[in-house]
This record gives sequence, structure tokens and C-alpha cells, in this order.
Amino acid sequence: MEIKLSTIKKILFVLLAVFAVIAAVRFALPLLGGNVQAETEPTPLPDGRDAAAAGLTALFSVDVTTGYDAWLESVCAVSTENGCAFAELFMNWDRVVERKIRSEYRVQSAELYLDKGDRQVWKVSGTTRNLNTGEEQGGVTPVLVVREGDEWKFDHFLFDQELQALESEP
Amino acid sequence: MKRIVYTLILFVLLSVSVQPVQAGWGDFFDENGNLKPGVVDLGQQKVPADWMPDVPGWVPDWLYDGAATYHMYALPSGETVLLPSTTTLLFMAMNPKESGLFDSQGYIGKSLGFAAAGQFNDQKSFLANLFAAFGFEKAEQFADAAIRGENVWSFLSADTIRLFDIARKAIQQDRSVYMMMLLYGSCQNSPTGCPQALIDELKRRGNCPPALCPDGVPPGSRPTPDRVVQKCGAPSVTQGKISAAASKTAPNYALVTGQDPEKRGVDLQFSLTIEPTIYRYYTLEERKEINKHCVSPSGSIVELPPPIEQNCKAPNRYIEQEEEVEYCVLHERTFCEQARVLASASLKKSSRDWILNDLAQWYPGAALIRPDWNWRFATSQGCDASNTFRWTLVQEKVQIRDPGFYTMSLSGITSGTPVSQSRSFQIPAGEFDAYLMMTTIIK
Repeated sequence: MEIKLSTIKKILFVLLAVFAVIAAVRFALPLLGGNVQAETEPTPLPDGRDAAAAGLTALFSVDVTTGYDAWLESVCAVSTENGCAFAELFMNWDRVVERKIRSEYRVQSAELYLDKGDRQVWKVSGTTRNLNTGEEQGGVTPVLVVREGDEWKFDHFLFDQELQALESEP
Repeated sequence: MKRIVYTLILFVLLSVSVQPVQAGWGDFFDENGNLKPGVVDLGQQKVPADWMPDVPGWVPDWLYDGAATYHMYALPSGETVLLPSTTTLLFMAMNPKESGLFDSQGYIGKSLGFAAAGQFNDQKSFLANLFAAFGFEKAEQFADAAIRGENVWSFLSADTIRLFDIARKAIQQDRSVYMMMLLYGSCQNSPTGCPQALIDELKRRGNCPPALCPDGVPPGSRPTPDRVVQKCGAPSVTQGKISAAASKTAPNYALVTGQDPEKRGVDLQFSLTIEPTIYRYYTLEERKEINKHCVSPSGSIVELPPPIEQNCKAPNRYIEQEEEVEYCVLHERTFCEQARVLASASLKKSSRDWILNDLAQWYPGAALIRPDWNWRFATSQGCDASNTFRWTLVQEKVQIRDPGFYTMSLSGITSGTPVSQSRSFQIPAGEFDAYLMMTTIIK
């Protein structure tokens, strides 16, 4: 069978075909995994897990040979001002020197316990290893982290009474 | 260097125009703030204190040991001046009654523009001033809560984020870790008690009053210490044995929480006993005795079996002589040694490994949830009539999350006694188990 078309009809037919092909390509490519620009999604804010782990690791890892300043610097690098002050106030470096302590803290797991918006309490499970004797001691430590801008920072480990107060906070 | 700082702070403190209300200050420091001769400088004293906040037991003691820290000065009469460290003072303010802050008979403080001296007539305003000196915004609210004995941490929600920064700034501003001096009429009423170092020093000086020294022998009026030691033996201190026990009381087979729909949990019991500290000392005493003799005509003594007065026959002569005889008397004093105790239960390493390795193969994602437990507050504690300290804890329906074998232990630090120093302890006390029911296909 022979179909005869006029020139105008031929042009219209070609344009329609081209349009259809373009539309099909535009619709089908994303489904086939083609390289098209994806819509940007909002990046989720990180939670305080890493800050809690990093802070506790710095706090519980001491080395008498590298000295107090190096230890404090490592804590303050991952801490809030308050966390830095906490380390400064409570550390008894005389005792570290007296016992020639070298210790290493390793985090095993961390569980979000309380979420108060800009403050989070993480229950961090980990072990402190005495590098001189190999003795290990560990357990769960409640840790407060605080969000400063887009960054979470270690604040301090919580006293029992402080944790109770936070638990009962509305 | 520290001594210079102390002298500096004392000078500054005493230069402040304050109204003295306690005669004792002048006995410690001269008008320039220097320590007067005769005052015993006991340096830093660390004392276990129940009112200091608690942390998990595995927090290293070089970071936090739960002890209150003071610099201590004392007079031979026992009057005491304490300079609490900044963090100790902060926690004292949060627990003013328990910490002995309100037992002080006077104070001098200059920190962040705060200077005062006097007695604790107005506890609230004193405490509010102290909190304000630290830099807290709701100082009066904190003072009210602390006096009512409430958990002050509950009121710190706004300030807690910068609590330690505030304390650090207070130190920097004061240029000393000591913001306040507290005066106590006797070391016995002070938070530190009377440390052994004080008693030793007063004994060395030979002027330890009877109130502080159990064998308080005023020099000169009684046999000298040398004579007592030479004839009667040296005094001795025997610290009481510390023993601990812990057990699971019910049920026989405890299940982990996830398989225990009734939340029965496990009942645990801990007990600690510290036997009394015994101080033994001798006193050389004199008494008059009647000596009975039988004397021959030549004047020599005739040895006879008793009763001499009947066996002594003529020509011998029976006589009675009154003589002063010295002898040693053994004295014993017992002291109760109290303790700050932490009861712990910890999943054994073998059980931890089993959960993380074996169980995790059967149940991917199996992990340790709460392998360690700590309890601080006793069900009952105190000294009995025999000066034995007993601490017991009954913890019911503990919701165990991780299956396996748990070791139970009791650790802590004692208060010491007037004749012995504090000591720390960690005693394995028992074991218990928590079960996990598993399904196995038997082929």
C-alpha cells in the first residue's frame, strides 16, 4: 500500500516525530540512570555521636610522657568552652605523674539517650586500657554534647545528679 | 609557688575591710595575712564526701575521685581554717547542710567583688551571694533550692551549659583556686575531721589536747611519753577489716528484659561491713600497795609462803610497808570508720565476647546495651554500738538488658578516723546470671 503526503504534511510529521523523541528521551533517561542533574536535597545535620565519642576519647586518654598541655589541647580541640573548663578543673595531673599513667580509651558503642534540641545526652560504652599494665576498665558513661552552629561539640560527662535533673526536665 | 599564692590571697583577703566576728581569725593570721607561728599548715586534704556528685565507678580517679579538697590550717587547740577548692566550694554551696558549710563559725571571702565576713545568721543571703559570686544568674533561686535540700542541678538548666566555665573564670579572676576561707571551732566539727597528720604534728610538739589525742597526756603532769613507750610499749592502731558480700535474692532464673514481659527483673543485695578501728595505748600508773614482809633479827627478809602474817614467827618480825608501784594499763578505744560506697555489677568479659561474637552471628546486630550497673545510695548505713560500720543496699527488679554472668563488687573510699587515714577499697562481692531463651532446631 502507498501513502501519499503533501510537503506541509511531511514537515509537520517530522516536527511531531522530533518533539516526541525529545520528550521521550527527557522522560526516560532519569529512569535509566542517565546522567542528568538531580534536584539537591537538604543535607541532614549530623548528630552528636561523633562529638561524644571524640570528647570522651580525648578526656580519658592520657600520656604522662606527652604532658598536661598536650592532653588539655586535645580535649579542648573537640570541646565547648565549658567542656574545656571541665577538663581543666577536674584533672589531677599530679596523680597522673605520680602513677606514670598512660591510658587509651576506645569507644565500643554510643546510644542517644536524651535529645533536648541543642543538647544531647549520649550513653557511650567504652573501655580505658592502662598501656603500662594492660589492665582494662570500662562501662557506660553519660555524655553531654552541645550544638554550636552546625557543629556538635563535647561538653562533659554527666554527674548522676545532673543526669537525673536532665531526665526530669520537661 | 603555691605558698606564695596562698600568702597573696590571704593578704588580699585580710586587707579587705571586714568586720571580724570570730576571734579565731587573729589566732591564725597576723595583720599582713601571714601565718602566725604555731599554726599547723596541713597542706591539701582530700576527704571522701557523700554530698559530692557521683560519677560511674570506672571514671579514672585522676580525673574525678569524688573527694572534697581543702587546704587546711589548724591550731593546737583544734580550731581549723579550711580553704575549699573552687569546685569543692561550688558543690558545698549546692549541698550547704550536708557539706558542713553552714557548720562553719565564720568565713571570709573575696571573689568576683564579693567580700564578707561573719557568721551564718542569714543562710539564704550568704548562699545567694556565693552563687552570685560564681556568676549564676538565678542565685536566689539556687540558694532557696539548696537550703531546701533539693537537687540544685534541676535549676541549672540555663546555667549548666557554662557551669564549669563560670567556675574557671572565677578562679582566673581570683588568681587562686581558693575563693573562701571557712573557720571551724574544732577540726572534729569540720568537713575534714582531724587528719592523722595534725595529730602526729601536735604529738610531736607535745601539746596534743585530750580532745584530739585519745591518750592525751599533758606533758609534765603525767609520765612522759618516752617513759610510757619505754616501759609499756608504743601505742598501736589496728584498722578494721573491710568485708563485702553481694548476691541475687530472686528469681532463680532471671530473664533479660526483652523476654520478661512482667518486668520481674532481678533482686540484688549488697552489704559492706567495716569493723571498728582499734587504738591501743598504755598509761603508766602508780598505786599504793601494802607489801608484807617477815624480817629476821639481823634485818634480812625471810622468804615465807603466804599468808606471811601467820607464818612469820618469833624471833622474826612481821612488818607491813606501803609502797608506790608503777604498772602499765592498757587502754582501748574504738572508732567507727565510715565509707562512701559504690555498688557495681558488670557483665563478665566472656559474656560480652559471647554477645558480640557468637550471638551476633545468630542475631545480626546483637550488641551490648547496658553491661554495667552502679548504685550509690544505701538502703541503710551507719555505725552500730560496737562502732562497726554497716552499709546495705537492696535493689529490686533490676531490668537486666544483656544476658550472661555478672560480677558484683563494692568499691569506695573510707572517711578514716581520728587515728587513721582514709583508704580506698574495691572488693569482689558475688556473682549473678541473667538468661536469654533461644530457639534451636535439633536436627
